[in-house]
Amino acid sequence: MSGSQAKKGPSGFTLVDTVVTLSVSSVLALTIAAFLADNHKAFNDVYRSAFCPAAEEDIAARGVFQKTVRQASSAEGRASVASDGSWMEVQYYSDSDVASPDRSARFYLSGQDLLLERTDLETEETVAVEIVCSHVVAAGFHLTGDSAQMFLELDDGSSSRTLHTSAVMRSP
Amino acid sequence: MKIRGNNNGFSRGSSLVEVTIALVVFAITVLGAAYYRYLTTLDVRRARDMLAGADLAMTFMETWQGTDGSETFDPENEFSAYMDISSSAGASTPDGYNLLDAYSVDVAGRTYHATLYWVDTESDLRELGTAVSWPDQRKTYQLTTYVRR
Repeated sequence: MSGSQAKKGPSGFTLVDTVVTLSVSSVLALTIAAFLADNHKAFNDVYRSAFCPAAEEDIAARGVFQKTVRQASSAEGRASVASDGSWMEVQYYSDSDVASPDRSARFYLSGQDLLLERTDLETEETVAVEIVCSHVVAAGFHLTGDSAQMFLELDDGSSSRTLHTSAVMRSP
Repeated sequence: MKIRGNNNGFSRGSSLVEVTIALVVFAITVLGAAYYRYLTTLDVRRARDMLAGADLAMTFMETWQGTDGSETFDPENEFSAYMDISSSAGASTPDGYNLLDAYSVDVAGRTYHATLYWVDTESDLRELGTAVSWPDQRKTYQLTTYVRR
């Protein structure tokens, strides 16, 4: 072994190698990080809007409104709505066996809760008051012919939704 | 014991090409997984837009049905207090149907176009239709119902 070979160390990275590698790595890392961050944010937004409390309230409110209105009578004077659209009342059949509407249902807003008050038409006593949904910041009701419409603005602090639904009342 | 390395006692290490290839493979894997998630997000958004379009068509149809399919039904007049709605051009009316009107409605920052049309299929039976479309949707969402008159 000659003296010059013994002194020669391992061939590692040169400064140019290191700078090139770092540059390529940095560009790759930044691109991936930006893509992932944007992707993650979009996914979270969609997930939150699909599973937020407002989304659940939306589904619940539609269900109760549709079910109640479809049981209601479309006869003259059986349905009424406030002139400013803040509440709506329909008279409905509590059972398929009853001959005429025996209950009334009134939708109205109390604070941020949409309430449904059910009343017995014969005794005029309140049978139940239920919370249809919460996080309601605005509510509007409308009657068109034999159909009733409900418009709600829901906001749970993290997500907001606009709900509009319509249902045809059953025959008198 | 056999030790991988040079005779001078140092391990061989990785070359620049090896490191770069490893980085590229890693990047492709990460980006591939992220792209899958991106497509999922996109599909959920499309589904949400489609649901909003279907909701809009349902609201129009149920309300129109409540008027027994009246030719004077005017959604703009009925809903303008609660919706951002205006009369505008919409999808073309199918052949053989009468146009009621076309509307543009803004729902959650998206603009939907709805065309309402009708035809009397029998002397006492009217077919009502609503076609809803929105910018990202290539197809038109159509809903049909019948009213006895």
